[in-house]
Amino acid sequence: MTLDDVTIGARLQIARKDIGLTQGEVGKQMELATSTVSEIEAGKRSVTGGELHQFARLYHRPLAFFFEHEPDESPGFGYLFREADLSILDRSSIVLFHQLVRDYTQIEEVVEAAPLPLPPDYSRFGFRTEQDAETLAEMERGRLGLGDAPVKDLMNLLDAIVGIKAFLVPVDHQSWSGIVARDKGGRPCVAVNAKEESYRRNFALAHEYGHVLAHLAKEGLPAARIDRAINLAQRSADESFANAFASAFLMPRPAILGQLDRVLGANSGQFTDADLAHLAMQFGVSGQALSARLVSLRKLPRHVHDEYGNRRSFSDLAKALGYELEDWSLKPTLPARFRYLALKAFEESRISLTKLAELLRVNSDELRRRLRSAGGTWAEAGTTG
Amino acid sequence: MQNPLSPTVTSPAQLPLVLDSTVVSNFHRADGLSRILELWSGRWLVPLQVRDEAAAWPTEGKRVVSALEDRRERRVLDFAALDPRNEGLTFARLSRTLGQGESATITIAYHRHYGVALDDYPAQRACHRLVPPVPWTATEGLLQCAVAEGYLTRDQARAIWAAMGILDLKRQVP
Repeated sequence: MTLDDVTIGARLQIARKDIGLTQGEVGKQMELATSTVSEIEAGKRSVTGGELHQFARLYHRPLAFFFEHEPDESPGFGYLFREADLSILDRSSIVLFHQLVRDYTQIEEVVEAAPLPLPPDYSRFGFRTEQDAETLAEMERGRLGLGDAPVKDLMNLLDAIVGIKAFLVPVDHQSWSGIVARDKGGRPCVAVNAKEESYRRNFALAHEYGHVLAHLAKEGLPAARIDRAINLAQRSADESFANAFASAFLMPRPAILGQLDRVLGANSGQFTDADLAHLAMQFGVSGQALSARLVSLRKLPRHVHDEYGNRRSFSDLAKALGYELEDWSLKPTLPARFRYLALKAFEESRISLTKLAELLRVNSDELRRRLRSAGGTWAEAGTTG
Repeated sequence: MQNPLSPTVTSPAQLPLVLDSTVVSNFHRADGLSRILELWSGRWLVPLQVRDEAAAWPTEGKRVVSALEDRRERRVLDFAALDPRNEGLTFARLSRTLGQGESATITIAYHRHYGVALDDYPAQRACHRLVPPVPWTATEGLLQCAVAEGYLTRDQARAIWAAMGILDLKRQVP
Protein backbone atom coordinates (compact mmCIF):
# COMPACT_ATOMS: atom_id res chain seq x y z
CA MET A 1 0.00 0.00 0.00
CA THR A 2 1.30 3.44 -0.86
CA LEU A 3 0.51 7.01 0.05
CA ASP A 4 -0.20 9.70 -2.50
CA ASP A 5 1.40 13.11 -2.76
CA VAL A 6 -1.89 14.89 -2.05
CA THR A 7 -2.28 13.16 1.34
CA ILE A 8 1.30 13.89 2.37
CA GLY A 9 1.06 17.46 1.05
CA ALA A 10 -2.12 18.11 3.02
CA ARG A 11 -0.49 16.86 6.23
CA LEU A 12 2.52 19.10 5.56
CA GLN A 13 0.22 22.07 5.16
CA ILE A 14 -1.58 21.30 8.44
CA ALA A 15 1.74 20.96 10.28
CA ARG A 16 3.05 24.23 8.80
CA LYS A 17 -0.07 26.14 9.80
CA ASP A 18 -0.04 24.58 13.28
CA ILE A 19 3.44 25.97 13.91
CA GLY A 20 2.47 29.32 12.35
CA LEU A 21 4.93 29.55 9.46
CA THR A 22 4.24 30.92 5.98
CA GLN A 23 5.30 29.01 2.87
CA GLY A 24 7.86 31.76 2.26
CA GLU A 25 9.38 31.37 5.72
CA VAL A 26 9.57 27.60 5.28
CA GLY A 27 11.17 27.96 1.86
CA LYS A 28 13.78 30.29 3.29
CA GLN A 29 14.66 27.96 6.17
CA MET A 30 14.83 24.90 3.93
CA GLU A 31 16.46 26.65 0.96
CA LEU A 32 13.50 25.86 -1.27
CA ALA A 33 11.54 28.24 -3.51
CA THR A 34 8.20 29.29 -2.04
CA SER A 35 6.57 27.84 -5.16
CA THR A 36 8.18 24.46 -4.41
CA VAL A 37 6.72 24.44 -0.90
CA SER A 38 3.36 25.35 -2.39
CA GLU A 39 3.57 22.58 -5.03
CA ILE A 40 4.53 19.99 -2.40
CA GLU A 41 1.59 20.97 -0.20
CA ALA A 42 -0.79 20.80 -3.17
CA GLY A 43 0.48 17.32 -4.05
CA LYS A 44 1.82 18.53 -7.41
CA ARG A 45 5.39 17.62 -6.57
CA SER A 46 6.59 14.62 -4.53
CA VAL A 47 8.45 15.41 -1.34
CA THR A 48 11.73 13.54 -1.00
CA GLY A 49 12.64 11.58 2.12
CA GLY A 50 15.38 14.08 2.97
CA GLU A 51 13.00 17.02 2.62
CA LEU A 52 10.36 15.33 4.75
CA HIS A 53 12.98 14.71 7.42
CA GLN A 54 13.73 18.47 7.41
CA PHE A 55 10.04 19.40 7.41
CA ALA A 56 9.45 17.18 10.43
CA ARG A 57 12.21 18.93 12.39
CA LEU A 58 11.04 22.38 11.38
CA TYR A 59 7.42 21.65 12.28
CA HIS A 60 8.26 19.83 15.56
CA ARG A 61 6.34 16.74 14.46
CA PRO A 62 7.35 13.08 14.33
CA LEU A 63 7.69 11.72 10.81
CA ALA A 64 4.64 9.46 11.21
CA PHE A 65 2.46 12.60 11.48
CA PHE A 66 2.75 13.05 7.72
CA PHE A 67 1.66 9.52 6.88
CA GLU A 68 -1.71 9.51 8.57
CA HIS A 69 -4.54 8.65 6.21
CA GLU A 70 -7.23 9.74 8.60
CA PRO A 71 -5.90 12.67 10.58
CA ASP A 72 -6.99 12.64 14.20
CA GLU A 73 -7.59 16.37 14.35
CA SER A 74 -9.86 17.09 17.29
CA PRO A 75 -12.25 20.03 17.24
CA GLY A 76 -10.43 21.37 20.30
CA PHE A 77 -6.94 21.44 18.83
CA GLY A 78 -8.30 22.42 15.43
CA TYR A 79 -9.81 25.48 17.09
CA LEU A 80 -6.61 26.22 19.00
CA PHE A 81 -4.45 26.19 15.90
CA ARG A 82 -6.92 28.29 13.92
CA GLU A 83 -7.53 30.81 16.65
CA ALA A 84 -4.05 31.05 18.11
CA ASP A 85 -3.19 34.10 16.07
CA LEU A 86 0.30 35.39 15.48
CA SER A 87 0.30 37.25 18.79
CA ILE A 88 0.94 33.81 20.31
CA LEU A 89 4.67 33.94 19.81
CA ASP A 90 5.39 30.45 21.00
CA ARG A 91 3.18 28.25 18.86
CA SER A 92 5.62 25.37 19.15
CA SER A 93 4.48 25.01 22.78
CA ILE A 94 0.93 24.38 21.53
CA VAL A 95 2.28 21.85 19.01
CA LEU A 96 4.15 20.17 21.87
CA PHE A 97 0.97 20.01 23.96
CA HIS A 98 -0.90 18.49 21.01
CA GLN A 99 1.87 15.95 20.46
CA LEU A 100 1.90 14.98 24.15
CA VAL A 101 -1.85 14.39 24.04
CA ARG A 102 -1.48 12.27 20.88
CA ASP A 103 1.32 10.23 22.48
CA TYR A 104 -0.74 9.71 25.63
CA THR A 105 -3.66 8.39 23.59
CA GLN A 106 -1.34 6.16 21.59
CA ILE A 107 0.22 4.56 24.67
CA GLU A 108 -3.25 4.02 26.18
CA GLU A 109 -4.13 2.13 22.99
CA VAL A 110 -0.88 0.12 22.99
CA VAL A 111 -1.40 -1.17 26.56
CA GLU A 112 -5.20 -1.30 26.14
CA ALA A 113 -5.59 0.80 29.28
CA ALA A 114 -8.99 0.91 30.96
CA PRO A 115 -10.54 4.26 30.09
CA LEU A 116 -10.75 6.90 32.77
CA PRO A 117 -14.11 8.35 33.75
CA LEU A 118 -14.96 11.66 32.11
CA PRO A 119 -15.21 14.64 34.45
CA PRO A 120 -18.74 15.80 35.21
CA ASP A 121 -20.23 18.46 32.96
CA TYR A 122 -21.85 21.32 34.84
CA SER A 123 -22.21 23.57 31.83
CA ARG A 124 -26.02 23.38 31.96
CA PHE A 125 -26.27 24.20 35.65
CA GLY A 126 -26.11 27.91 34.93
CA PHE A 127 -23.18 28.45 37.30
CA ARG A 128 -22.10 32.06 36.87
CA THR A 129 -21.32 33.92 40.08
CA GLU A 130 -18.38 33.64 42.44
CA GLN A 131 -20.74 32.08 44.98
CA ASP A 132 -21.64 29.46 42.35
CA ALA A 133 -17.90 28.78 41.89
CA GLU A 134 -17.57 28.27 45.66
CA THR A 135 -20.47 25.82 45.55
CA LEU A 136 -19.00 23.94 42.58
CA ALA A 137 -15.60 23.70 44.29
CA GLU A 138 -17.25 22.25 47.42
CA MET A 139 -19.19 19.77 45.26
CA GLU A 140 -16.03 18.63 43.50
CA ARG A 141 -14.08 18.30 46.73
CA GLY A 142 -16.95 16.25 48.15
CA ARG A 143 -17.17 14.06 45.03
CA LEU A 144 -13.42 13.39 45.12
CA GLY A 145 -13.37 12.76 48.87
CA LEU A 146 -10.78 15.46 49.52
CA GLY A 147 -12.33 16.87 52.68
CA ASP A 148 -10.69 20.19 53.57
CA ALA A 149 -7.11 19.04 53.15
CA PRO A 150 -4.68 20.94 50.91
CA VAL A 151 -4.29 19.37 47.46
CA LYS A 152 -0.74 18.10 47.23
CA ASP A 153 -0.49 17.06 43.58
CA LEU A 154 -3.20 18.68 41.51
CA MET A 155 -1.77 17.66 38.12
CA ASN A 156 -2.00 13.96 38.93
CA LEU A 157 -5.32 14.33 40.75
CA LEU A 158 -6.78 15.84 37.58
CA ASP A 159 -5.14 13.30 35.34
CA ALA A 160 -5.72 10.02 37.14
CA ILE A 161 -8.84 10.70 39.21
CA VAL A 162 -10.84 13.49 37.60
CA GLY A 163 -10.13 12.31 34.06
CA ILE A 164 -8.57 15.49 32.65
CA LYS A 165 -5.24 14.82 30.95
CA ALA A 166 -2.86 17.36 32.44
CA PHE A 167 0.63 18.49 31.41
CA LEU A 168 3.18 21.15 32.25
CA VAL A 169 4.56 22.59 29.02
CA PRO A 170 7.41 25.14 28.84
CA VAL A 171 6.16 28.29 27.12
CA ASP A 172 8.41 31.04 25.78
CA HIS A 173 7.63 34.76 26.00
CA GLN A 174 4.84 33.99 28.49
CA SER A 175 2.67 33.48 25.41
CA TRP A 176 0.04 31.67 27.46
CA SER A 177 -0.56 30.49 31.01
CA GLY A 178 -3.11 27.77 30.49
CA ILE A 179 -4.87 25.91 27.71
CA VAL A 180 -7.79 23.56 27.76
CA ALA A 181 -8.85 21.54 24.72
CA ARG A 182 -10.75 18.37 23.97
CA ASP A 183 -8.80 15.58 22.30
CA LYS A 184 -10.11 13.46 19.45
CA GLY A 185 -12.01 11.24 21.90
CA GLY A 186 -13.65 14.24 23.55
CA ARG A 187 -11.55 14.04 26.72
CA PRO A 188 -10.58 17.41 28.22
CA CYS A 189 -6.83 18.05 28.30
CA VAL A 190 -5.12 20.93 30.07
CA ALA A 191 -1.63 22.35 29.92
CA VAL A 192 -0.11 25.09 32.00
CA ASN A 193 3.16 26.93 31.61
CA ALA A 194 6.00 24.89 33.14
CA LYS A 195 8.09 28.06 33.33
CA GLU A 196 5.93 29.50 36.11
CA GLU A 197 6.60 28.91 39.80
CA SER A 198 4.89 25.82 41.22
CA TYR A 199 2.26 27.80 43.14
CA ARG A 200 1.26 29.71 40.00
CA ARG A 201 1.06 26.47 38.02
CA ASN A 202 -1.20 25.02 40.71
CA PHE A 203 -3.55 27.95 40.48
CA ALA A 204 -3.51 27.84 36.67
CA LEU A 205 -4.35 24.12 36.72
CA ALA A 206 -7.26 24.70 39.09
CA HIS A 207 -8.40 27.65 36.94
CA GLU A 208 -8.47 25.46 33.80
CA TYR A 209 -10.23 22.75 35.83
CA GLY A 210 -12.98 25.29 36.53
CA HIS A 211 -13.28 26.00 32.82
CA VAL A 212 -13.55 22.28 32.03
CA LEU A 213 -16.35 21.78 34.55
CA ALA A 214 -18.39 24.85 33.81
CA HIS A 215 -17.57 26.15 30.35
CA LEU A 216 -15.97 23.65 27.99
CA ALA A 217 -19.19 21.89 27.02
CA LYS A 218 -21.30 25.06 26.92
CA GLU A 219 -23.34 25.23 23.75
CA GLY A 220 -22.02 27.69 21.22
CA LEU A 221 -18.58 27.88 22.82
CA PRO A 222 -15.45 26.41 21.20
CA ALA A 223 -14.01 23.08 22.33
CA ALA A 224 -10.84 24.83 23.53
CA ARG A 225 -9.66 28.00 25.23
CA ILE A 226 -6.36 29.76 25.69
CA ASP A 227 -5.67 31.84 28.78
CA ARG A 228 -2.93 34.30 27.91
CA ALA A 229 -2.34 35.32 31.52
CA ILE A 230 -4.29 34.30 34.57
CA ASN A 231 -4.49 37.25 36.93
CA LEU A 232 -6.63 37.71 39.94
CA ALA A 233 -8.35 40.82 38.61
CA GLN A 234 -9.97 39.10 35.63
CA ARG A 235 -12.83 41.08 34.15
CA SER A 236 -14.70 38.53 32.03
CA ALA A 237 -17.39 36.54 33.83
CA ASP A 238 -15.98 33.15 32.80
CA GLU A 239 -12.46 34.08 33.89
CA SER A 240 -13.64 35.49 37.23
CA PHE A 241 -15.63 32.31 37.73
CA ALA A 242 -12.61 30.11 36.96
CA ASN A 243 -10.49 32.18 39.38
CA ALA A 244 -13.10 31.89 42.12
CA PHE A 245 -13.36 28.15 41.53
CA ALA A 246 -9.56 27.74 41.66
CA SER A 247 -9.39 29.78 44.83
CA ALA A 248 -12.17 27.86 46.57
CA PHE A 249 -10.92 24.46 45.38
CA LEU A 250 -7.33 25.02 46.50
CA MET A 251 -8.24 26.92 49.67
CA PRO A 252 -11.46 25.47 51.09
CA ARG A 253 -13.30 27.91 53.31
CA PRO A 254 -13.38 25.78 56.53
CA ALA A 255 -9.68 24.94 56.29
CA ILE A 256 -8.62 28.55 55.68
CA LEU A 257 -10.85 29.90 58.44
CA GLY A 258 -9.64 27.23 60.86
CA GLN A 259 -5.98 27.90 60.11
CA LEU A 260 -6.52 31.64 60.32
CA ASP A 261 -8.13 31.32 63.74
CA ARG A 262 -5.20 29.26 64.96
CA VAL A 263 -2.64 31.79 63.70
CA LEU A 264 -4.52 34.74 65.12
CA GLY A 265 -5.00 32.93 68.42
CA ALA A 266 -1.30 32.18 68.71
CA ASN A 267 -0.21 35.70 67.67
CA SER A 268 -2.60 37.79 69.80
CA GLY A 269 -4.63 38.78 66.76
CA GLN A 270 -1.64 39.72 64.59
CA PHE A 271 -1.36 38.38 61.03
CA THR A 272 1.98 39.16 59.40
CA ASP A 273 3.35 38.75 55.88
CA ALA A 274 5.27 35.73 57.16
CA ASP A 275 2.01 34.18 58.43
CA LEU A 276 0.47 34.81 55.05
CA ALA A 277 3.41 33.20 53.21
CA HIS A 278 3.43 30.25 55.59
CA LEU A 279 -0.29 29.65 55.11
CA ALA A 280 -0.05 30.10 51.34
CA MET A 281 2.69 27.48 51.12
CA GLN A 282 0.56 25.03 53.10
CA PHE A 283 -2.11 25.29 50.42
CA GLY A 284 0.31 25.45 47.47
CA VAL A 285 -0.73 28.93 46.34
CA SER A 286 0.89 32.36 46.17
CA GLY A 287 0.59 34.96 48.90
CA GLN A 288 -1.39 37.04 46.43
CA ALA A 289 -3.89 34.22 45.86
CA LEU A 290 -4.25 33.61 49.59
CA SER A 291 -4.77 37.27 50.40
CA ALA A 292 -7.38 37.49 47.60
CA ARG A 293 -9.09 34.47 49.17
CA LEU A 294 -9.08 36.17 52.56
CA VAL A 295 -10.70 39.22 50.96
CA SER A 296 -13.42 37.05 49.45
CA LEU A 297 -13.99 35.46 52.86
CA ARG A 298 -14.21 38.97 54.35
CA LYS A 299 -11.22 38.37 56.58
CA LEU A 300 -8.91 40.95 55.00
CA PRO A 301 -9.71 44.47 53.78
CA ARG A 302 -9.21 44.82 50.00
CA HIS A 303 -6.71 47.68 50.36
CA VAL A 304 -4.43 45.43 52.43
CA HIS A 305 -4.55 42.83 49.67
CA ASP A 306 -3.85 45.51 47.05
CA GLU A 307 -0.87 46.78 49.04
CA TYR A 308 0.47 43.29 49.61
CA GLY A 309 1.32 42.75 45.98
CA ASN A 310 3.52 45.85 45.93
CA ARG A 311 5.12 45.29 49.29
CA ARG A 312 7.10 42.07 49.12
CA SER A 313 8.25 39.34 46.82
CA PHE A 314 6.28 36.29 47.86
CA SER A 315 8.86 33.82 46.59
CA ASP A 316 11.71 35.61 48.42
CA LEU A 317 9.72 35.57 51.63
CA ALA A 318 8.78 31.90 51.21
CA LYS A 319 12.43 31.03 50.61
CA ALA A 320 13.47 33.06 53.65
CA LEU A 321 11.00 30.98 55.67
CA GLY A 322 12.81 27.85 54.51
CA TYR A 323 10.41 26.65 51.83
CA GLU A 324 12.02 25.02 48.84
CA LEU A 325 10.19 26.34 45.83
CA GLU A 326 10.22 23.95 42.95
CA ASP A 327 12.10 25.54 40.07
CA TRP A 328 10.41 26.24 36.80
CA SER A 329 11.19 23.76 34.13
CA LEU A 330 12.49 23.87 30.58
CA LYS A 331 11.12 20.40 29.92
CA PRO A 332 7.54 19.25 29.77
CA THR A 333 6.26 17.36 32.79
CA LEU A 334 4.15 14.33 32.00
CA PRO A 335 1.44 13.03 34.29
CA ALA A 336 2.30 9.97 36.39
CA ARG A 337 -0.31 7.79 34.66
CA PHE A 338 1.23 8.52 31.24
CA ARG A 339 4.70 7.59 32.54
CA TYR A 340 3.33 4.50 34.26
CA LEU A 341 1.57 3.24 31.11
CA ALA A 342 4.69 3.88 29.01
CA LEU A 343 6.90 1.99 31.46
CA LYS A 344 4.37 -0.83 31.68
CA ALA A 345 4.39 -1.10 27.87
CA PHE A 346 8.19 -1.29 27.96
CA GLU A 347 8.24 -3.88 30.74
CA GLU A 348 5.81 -6.03 28.78
CA SER A 349 8.05 -5.65 25.69
CA ARG A 350 5.23 -3.94 23.80
CA ILE A 351 7.45 -0.95 23.02
CA SER A 352 11.20 -0.58 22.61
CA LEU A 353 13.54 1.40 24.82
CA THR A 354 13.97 4.16 22.23
CA LYS A 355 10.18 4.45 21.92
CA LEU A 356 9.97 4.75 25.70
CA ALA A 357 12.64 7.46 25.60
CA GLU A 358 10.73 9.33 22.88
CA LEU A 359 7.51 9.16 24.89
CA LEU A 360 9.20 10.34 28.09
CA ARG A 361 11.15 13.06 26.21
CA VAL A 362 14.50 11.85 27.54
CA ASN A 363 17.68 10.74 25.85
CA SER A 364 17.64 6.98 25.24
CA ASP A 365 21.21 6.45 26.42
CA GLU A 366 20.51 8.31 29.62
CA LEU A 367 17.29 6.35 30.10
CA ARG A 368 19.13 3.05 29.55
CA ARG A 369 21.61 4.04 32.27
CA ARG A 370 18.82 5.02 34.66
CA LEU A 371 16.91 1.79 34.11
CA ARG A 372 20.04 -0.29 34.58
CA SER A 373 20.87 1.44 37.82
CA ALA A 374 17.30 0.76 38.98
CA GLY A 375 18.22 -2.92 38.70
CA GLY A 376 15.80 -5.85 38.84
CA THR A 377 13.97 -6.56 35.60
CA TRP A 378 15.35 -3.33 34.17
CA ALA A 379 19.00 -4.29 34.59
CA GLU A 380 19.19 -5.45 30.99
CA ALA A 381 17.17 -2.55 29.63
CA GLY A 382 17.25 -2.09 25.91
CA THR A 383 18.97 -5.31 25.04
CA THR A 384 17.98 -8.59 23.57
CA GLY A 385 17.28 -11.15 26.24
CA MET B 1 13.11 -11.70 29.33
CA GLN B 2 14.55 -14.61 27.38
CA ASN B 3 14.68 -13.70 23.72
CA PRO B 4 12.93 -16.46 21.77
CA LEU B 5 14.21 -15.08 18.47
CA SER B 6 17.43 -16.00 16.69
CA PRO B 7 19.34 -13.81 14.25
CA THR B 8 18.58 -14.54 10.63
CA VAL B 9 21.54 -12.77 8.99
CA THR B 10 24.84 -14.56 9.01
CA SER B 11 27.01 -11.80 7.57
CA PRO B 12 26.89 -8.31 6.04
CA ALA B 13 28.60 -9.99 3.10
CA GLN B 14 25.38 -11.95 2.62
CA LEU B 15 23.22 -8.84 2.21
CA PRO B 16 23.62 -5.10 2.95
CA LEU B 17 22.58 -4.09 6.46
CA VAL B 18 20.68 -1.06 7.75
CA LEU B 19 22.16 -0.02 11.10
CA ASP B 20 20.19 1.01 14.16
CA SER B 21 21.51 3.39 16.79
CA THR B 22 21.84 0.69 19.49
CA VAL B 23 24.47 -1.12 17.41
CA VAL B 24 26.16 2.13 16.39
CA SER B 25 26.44 3.27 19.99
CA ASN B 26 27.67 -0.13 21.23
CA PHE B 27 30.55 -0.20 18.74
CA HIS B 28 31.35 3.46 19.35
CA ARG B 29 31.50 2.83 23.10
CA ALA B 30 34.08 0.10 22.47
CA ASP B 31 36.03 2.37 20.12
CA GLY B 32 35.32 -0.13 17.37
CA LEU B 33 32.73 1.58 15.15
CA SER B 34 35.02 2.53 12.28
CA ARG B 35 36.78 -0.80 12.48
CA ILE B 36 33.63 -2.92 12.20
CA LEU B 37 32.18 -0.72 9.43
CA GLU B 38 35.32 -1.03 7.36
CA LEU B 39 35.35 -4.82 7.58
CA TRP B 40 32.39 -4.84 5.21
CA SER B 41 32.90 -1.54 3.42
CA GLY B 42 30.00 -0.39 1.25
CA ARG B 43 27.54 -2.81 2.85
CA TRP B 44 25.94 -0.39 5.34
CA LEU B 45 23.05 2.05 5.36
CA VAL B 46 22.33 4.48 8.19
CA PRO B 47 18.86 6.10 8.22
CA LEU B 48 18.73 9.86 8.87
CA GLN B 49 16.68 9.15 11.99
CA VAL B 50 19.49 6.95 13.34
CA ARG B 51 21.99 9.72 12.64
CA ASP B 52 19.70 12.09 14.60
CA GLU B 53 19.52 9.69 17.52
CA ALA B 54 23.30 9.31 17.53
CA ALA B 55 23.69 13.10 17.44
CA ALA B 56 21.43 13.41 20.48
CA TRP B 57 23.80 11.32 22.61
CA PRO B 58 24.82 14.03 25.10
CA THR B 59 28.46 13.10 25.64
CA GLU B 60 29.45 11.32 22.43
CA GLY B 61 26.96 12.57 19.82
CA LYS B 62 29.37 14.81 17.91
CA ARG B 63 32.06 12.15 17.73
CA VAL B 64 29.69 9.44 16.53
CA VAL B 65 28.19 11.63 13.82
CA SER B 66 31.62 12.76 12.73
CA ALA B 67 32.74 9.10 12.47
CA LEU B 68 29.65 8.23 10.44
CA GLU B 69 30.06 11.20 8.11
CA ASP B 70 33.72 10.45 7.60
CA ARG B 71 32.86 6.85 6.64
CA ARG B 72 30.19 8.12 4.32
CA GLU B 73 32.69 10.31 2.46
CA ARG B 74 34.85 7.24 2.05
CA ARG B 75 31.83 5.27 0.76
CA VAL B 76 32.04 2.80 3.61
CA LEU B 77 28.38 3.55 4.37
CA ASP B 78 25.59 5.70 3.05
CA PHE B 79 22.84 7.66 4.77
CA ALA B 80 19.32 6.74 3.76
CA ALA B 81 16.04 8.66 3.83
CA LEU B 82 12.63 7.04 3.76
CA ASP B 83 10.68 7.06 0.52
CA PRO B 84 7.57 8.85 1.81
CA ARG B 85 5.11 7.47 -0.73
CA ASN B 86 6.14 3.83 -0.71
CA GLU B 87 7.53 3.40 2.77
CA GLY B 88 5.52 5.90 4.84
CA LEU B 89 2.72 3.59 5.94
CA THR B 90 5.08 0.86 7.13
CA PHE B 91 7.06 3.45 9.06
CA ALA B 92 3.88 4.88 10.64
CA ARG B 93 2.75 1.42 11.74
CA LEU B 94 6.12 0.48 13.24
CA SER B 95 6.62 3.80 14.99
CA ARG B 96 3.59 3.21 17.21
CA THR B 97 5.74 0.85 19.28
CA LEU B 98 9.32 1.45 18.12
CA GLY B 99 11.58 4.50 18.13
CA GLN B 100 12.00 6.65 15.02
CA GLY B 101 15.43 5.17 14.27
CA GLU B 102 14.36 1.54 14.66
CA SER B 103 11.22 2.15 12.61
CA ALA B 104 13.21 3.75 9.80
CA THR B 105 15.83 0.97 9.94
CA ILE B 106 13.28 -1.82 9.59
CA THR B 107 11.13 0.05 7.06
CA ILE B 108 14.03 0.71 4.71
CA ALA B 109 15.27 -2.88 4.98
CA TYR B 110 11.77 -4.29 4.43
CA HIS B 111 11.04 -2.32 1.27
CA ARG B 112 14.53 -2.51 -0.25
CA HIS B 113 15.23 -6.14 0.68
CA TYR B 114 18.16 -5.52 3.02
CA GLY B 115 18.88 -6.87 6.48
CA VAL B 116 19.10 -4.93 9.73
CA ALA B 117 21.43 -4.82 12.71
CA LEU B 118 19.58 -3.91 15.88
CA ASP B 119 19.60 -4.95 19.52
CA ASP B 120 16.20 -4.23 21.00
CA TYR B 121 13.88 -7.22 21.43
CA PRO B 122 10.60 -5.51 20.35
CA ALA B 123 12.40 -4.31 17.20
CA GLN B 124 13.68 -7.82 16.45
CA ARG B 125 10.18 -9.19 17.00
CA ALA B 126 8.83 -6.59 14.56
CA CYS B 127 11.30 -7.89 11.96
CA HIS B 128 9.94 -11.42 12.42
CA ARG B 129 6.32 -10.33 12.19
CA LEU B 130 6.61 -8.54 8.86
CA VAL B 131 5.69 -10.54 5.77
CA PRO B 132 8.15 -11.43 4.45
CA PRO B 133 10.25 -11.14 7.63
CA VAL B 134 13.22 -8.77 7.66
CA PRO B 135 16.53 -10.62 8.19
CA TRP B 136 18.30 -9.27 11.26
CA THR B 137 21.36 -9.59 13.39
CA ALA B 138 22.55 -7.91 16.60
CA THR B 139 25.81 -6.45 17.93
CA GLU B 140 27.21 -9.82 19.00
CA GLY B 141 26.15 -11.33 15.67
CA LEU B 142 28.40 -8.89 13.82
CA LEU B 143 31.33 -9.78 16.06
CA GLN B 144 30.70 -13.47 15.49
CA CYS B 145 30.67 -12.89 11.71
CA ALA B 146 33.94 -11.01 11.96
CA VAL B 147 35.48 -13.97 13.77
CA ALA B 148 33.94 -16.53 11.40
CA GLU B 149 35.24 -14.66 8.36
CA GLY B 150 38.70 -14.30 9.82
CA TYR B 151 38.69 -10.52 10.33
CA LEU B 152 39.01 -10.71 14.09
CA THR B 153 40.40 -13.29 16.46
CA ARG B 154 38.09 -14.63 19.14
CA ASP B 155 40.07 -12.69 21.76
CA GLN B 156 39.80 -9.44 19.81
CA ALA B 157 36.03 -9.89 19.48
CA ARG B 158 35.74 -10.64 23.19
CA ALA B 159 37.76 -7.54 24.04
CA ILE B 160 35.49 -5.35 21.93
CA TRP B 161 32.43 -6.99 23.50
CA ALA B 162 33.78 -6.43 27.01
CA ALA B 163 34.48 -2.77 26.23
CA MET B 164 30.83 -2.24 25.28
CA GLY B 165 29.82 -2.82 28.89
CA ILE B 166 26.70 -4.82 28.03
CA LEU B 167 25.55 -6.28 31.34
CA ASP B 168 23.19 -8.90 30.02
CA LEU B 169 24.81 -12.25 30.84
CA LYS B 170 22.59 -14.09 28.38
CA ARG B 171 24.30 -12.22 25.56
CA GLN B 172 27.90 -12.97 24.77
CA VAL B 173 30.46 -13.58 22.08
CA PRO B 174 31.47 -17.27 22.13
